[in-house]
Amino acid sequence: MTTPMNALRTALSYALMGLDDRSLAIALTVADSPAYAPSDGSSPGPDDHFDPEATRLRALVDLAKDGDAEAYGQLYDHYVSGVFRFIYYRVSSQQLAEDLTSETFVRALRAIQRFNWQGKDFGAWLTTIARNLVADHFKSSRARLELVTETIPEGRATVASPEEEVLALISNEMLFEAVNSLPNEQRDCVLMRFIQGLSIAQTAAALGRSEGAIKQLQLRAVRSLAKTVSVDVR
Amino acid sequence: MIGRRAHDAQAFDEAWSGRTPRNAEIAELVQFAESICEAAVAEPSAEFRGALRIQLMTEAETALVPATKTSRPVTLAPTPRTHNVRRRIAGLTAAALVSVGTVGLVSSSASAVPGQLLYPLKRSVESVELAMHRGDASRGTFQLAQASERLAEARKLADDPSANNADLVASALDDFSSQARSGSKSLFNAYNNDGKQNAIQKVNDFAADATAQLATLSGVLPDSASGSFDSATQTISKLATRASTLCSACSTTDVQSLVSAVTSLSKVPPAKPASSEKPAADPASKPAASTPTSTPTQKPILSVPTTPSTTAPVTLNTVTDPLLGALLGDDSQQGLVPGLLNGLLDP
Repeated sequence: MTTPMNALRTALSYALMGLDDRSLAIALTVADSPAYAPSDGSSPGPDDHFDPEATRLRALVDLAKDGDAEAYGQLYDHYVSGVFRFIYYRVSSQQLAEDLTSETFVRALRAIQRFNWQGKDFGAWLTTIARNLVADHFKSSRARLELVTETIPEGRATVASPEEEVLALISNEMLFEAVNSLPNEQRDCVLMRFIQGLSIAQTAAALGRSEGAIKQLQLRAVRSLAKTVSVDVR
Repeated sequence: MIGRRAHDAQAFDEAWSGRTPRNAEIAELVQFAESICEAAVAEPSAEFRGALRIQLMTEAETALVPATKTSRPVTLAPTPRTHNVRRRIAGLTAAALVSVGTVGLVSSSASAVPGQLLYPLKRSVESVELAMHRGDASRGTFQLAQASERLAEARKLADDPSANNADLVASALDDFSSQARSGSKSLFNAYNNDGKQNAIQKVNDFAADATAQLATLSGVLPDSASGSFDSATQTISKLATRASTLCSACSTTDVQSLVSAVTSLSKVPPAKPASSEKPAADPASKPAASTPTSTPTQKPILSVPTTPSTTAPVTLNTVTDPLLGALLGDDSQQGLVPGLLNGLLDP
């Protein structure tokens, strides 16, 4: 009984939020479909409980699946920074990160019609694509060592402007090295949780682990990172 | 041990989510994790973001299309509406751009002559225009206008000595003949149907005008086009004769003189039919239609060209030189064409 009421409330909040046709389309989509009723902690996780932003993103995914290009554009706007950052701290090259980010979104666009919500979050799904692309990249470039050695200094040169170095306790370069010295799962967990900003549920979905496992993984990773960085700093 | 680890993990996650850390170690780790977040400042450049967005939008137009068929019915309604508006606007814009371009092409094709790139377009536009003319009278008028245009094209082509345009001149003249024939036929039909003398008058005006044009053309005509030229003159003489037989009262000009002037233009003397029709047209038109003012001035001039052309076509030059003189006027005479035109212009 509360489900349709909640859906209606969400729909109304969208309709009142803005007057452009996109918000209206989202509002209509949300109002139409019972799928947007806030789940009780099951799939999107407790953080998403009646989260308007999460609901908006879900509506955008459905609109995009139905052929709405602009909806996909808004999803892109929302996720591009996170995906880029995830890739960037793996490859440490602005150029390469941009290439792989672009590839991620193109692949997602082509596959979005096969995407379904069953136990998956769209951000997590995008991150999985990005993660596979990065893995492919390293697999293919492992044979060509010069490419790997070339990318690291480039990261040093392009990032870390003086102010940021003063402000941040850890520099980009140190962060890159420390994160990439972690075991694979811990590394990806740190990237997703702290650098990309995914939720526990999203990270769990992207890595195919339980939420409890992710919580342990992130603690272990932070501990081990703290150790590495503090040794480096001193 | 495992329970302890899970406990710590939960404690860290809760602290990270904003609750008070349970102990100093957790607090330190949360602070450290925050510094990781702060350090991760890498952002895609705005330039890259914008370019990739454009690329995705372009690809989305094709990549997302099949979804509309398989999409869930509930969300189908709102989606295509917004999408279609966009697409419709895009379609309209494209159509507007295309039509601006088309208008430019069509208008610049108006002055094209055969052999030029835009000439086929000009002819296509003409046939479209013709298709829009309903009714014999307007079709016929339009076709005669087209025939005049062919004649002007032939003239333009023949005037250009550098190009070897003989074939194009010939085909323009052939087109002139056929369009003149079908145009006058439509006008004759129109006259037969509703009896308006206007239709016959149009044919007569056209014939007079075409005669003048053919006369000037004959001076610059390439030799190999003379066959087409002759059939053009015969066409004019036939339709002028036909016009006078149909309605002797319609013509303000002397049909007889027109026919003989046209006939005389022909470099090869015409075969029987044109002249054999003359007597038939003559008695009908003369007493009824000819105004007393125009007949006397034109008669003497006409007698000059008609006689040699039918009797002694020995060489082309001996025939055409006096003919042209008689037609266009020279030192000794006013000339048929200017005379005719004057007669037409001030009735």
